[in-house]
Amino acid sequence: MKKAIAVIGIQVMLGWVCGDLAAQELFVFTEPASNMPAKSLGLRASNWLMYDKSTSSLNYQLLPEIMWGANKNLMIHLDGFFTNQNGHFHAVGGGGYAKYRLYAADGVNKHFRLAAFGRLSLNNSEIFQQEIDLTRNNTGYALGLIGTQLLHKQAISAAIGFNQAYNNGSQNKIPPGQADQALNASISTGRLIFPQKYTNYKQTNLNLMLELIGQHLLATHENFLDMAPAIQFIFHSQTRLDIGYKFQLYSDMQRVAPNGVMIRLEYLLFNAF
Amino acid sequence: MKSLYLLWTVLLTSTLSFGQIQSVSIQASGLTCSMCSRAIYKALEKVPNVSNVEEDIEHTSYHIQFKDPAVVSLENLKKAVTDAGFSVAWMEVNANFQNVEVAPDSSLRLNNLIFQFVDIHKQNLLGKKKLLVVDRDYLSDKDRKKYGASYQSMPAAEGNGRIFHVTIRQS
Repeated sequence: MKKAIAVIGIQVMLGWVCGDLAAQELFVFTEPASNMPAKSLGLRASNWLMYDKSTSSLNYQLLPEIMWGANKNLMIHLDGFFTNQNGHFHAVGGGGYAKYRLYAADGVNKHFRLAAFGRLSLNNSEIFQQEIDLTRNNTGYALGLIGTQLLHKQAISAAIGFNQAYNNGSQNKIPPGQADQALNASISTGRLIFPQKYTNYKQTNLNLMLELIGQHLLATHENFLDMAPAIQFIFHSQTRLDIGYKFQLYSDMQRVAPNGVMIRLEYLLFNAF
Repeated sequence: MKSLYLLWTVLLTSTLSFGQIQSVSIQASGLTCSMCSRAIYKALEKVPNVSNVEEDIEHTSYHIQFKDPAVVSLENLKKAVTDAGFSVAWMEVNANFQNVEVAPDSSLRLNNLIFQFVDIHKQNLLGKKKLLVVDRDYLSDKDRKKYGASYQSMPAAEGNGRIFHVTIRQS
């Protein structure tokens, strides 16, 4: 079943890219190279329901996030991570993310953007998997580059990043022999489905997204590859609702909860400062 | 009283003879989605002295009117678009003229701004005209190439403040 979805997904992705290029790049599982407008503020709540293989239970995770467009080139995110793993809802970690626009080439209804990003994360959970996840499970930092091409109703984006994990405090150390460095890579595409023609800001926008997200552990040469389709609604050109499903296509590393559903609400405040 | 009336008449005539800026139209580039378009719309609305912004989301263009047309800032409008994260594809100044003669390289003051004409033939401007700003960051690089060479070598026009290079766009 998953294989079939994956094959169809890749075909759709390729079809979109090679076919009638006409999106949307407000990706659900990754960040595009584009920044949010200067002086604007975004509020985001991402709710994840992940299937935890170790306990055969559904794990609820909440990621609240504040995003700030400092100027046209720089945006900053601050986020937290909460989970009900181990039976009670508790805070596990948090982090900061910054993205800087390096290059922009704009045309009517199209653009290419290149951005550099960095992330710093703190986490106090037990390290229970090989996957390095700076949002949920690891203390550390990430540095990377993102390139995004928008062509009318279609967007495609690619990102690559280096991750360095550290012990989660003195109590929760990285197990001996486990890799603490990884390369992440992703490719994402999105397409505007509705409206066919814009007439006002109250029209609901519908976007379809498909993303491939992978990781390579540098010391042990283990890999995973996930696929993540999503549907996105934008209401009044200001409020976003994302519903996505992420699942593992391939992995030779130990991961606790790679599969799950994500529901996110995001609200953008223009000219907040 | 008579001299005051005369002064008023002279002032009025001289102003009208140059023409008046009525509004500015902008097309933004680098976006498709309505969220992006709304970010620009909100930024333009916030520019001091702007009274009204009409949007055409499909064509990512905006029509801007002013509370006081005597103090129009094209720089502030351009900055609103670029701070939202996008670029100006073109900017047009919509002005009303009362029989003003213009020629290649000639300059004139409209409201608080000085314009120098490029790529035009000698003519009398009468009624509503669209002046396309051809300076860097006000027009896409691709379109600027049509005008770039012709004005970059020209001497600066006389007058205080920044000079905007414009051409007359056919309505």
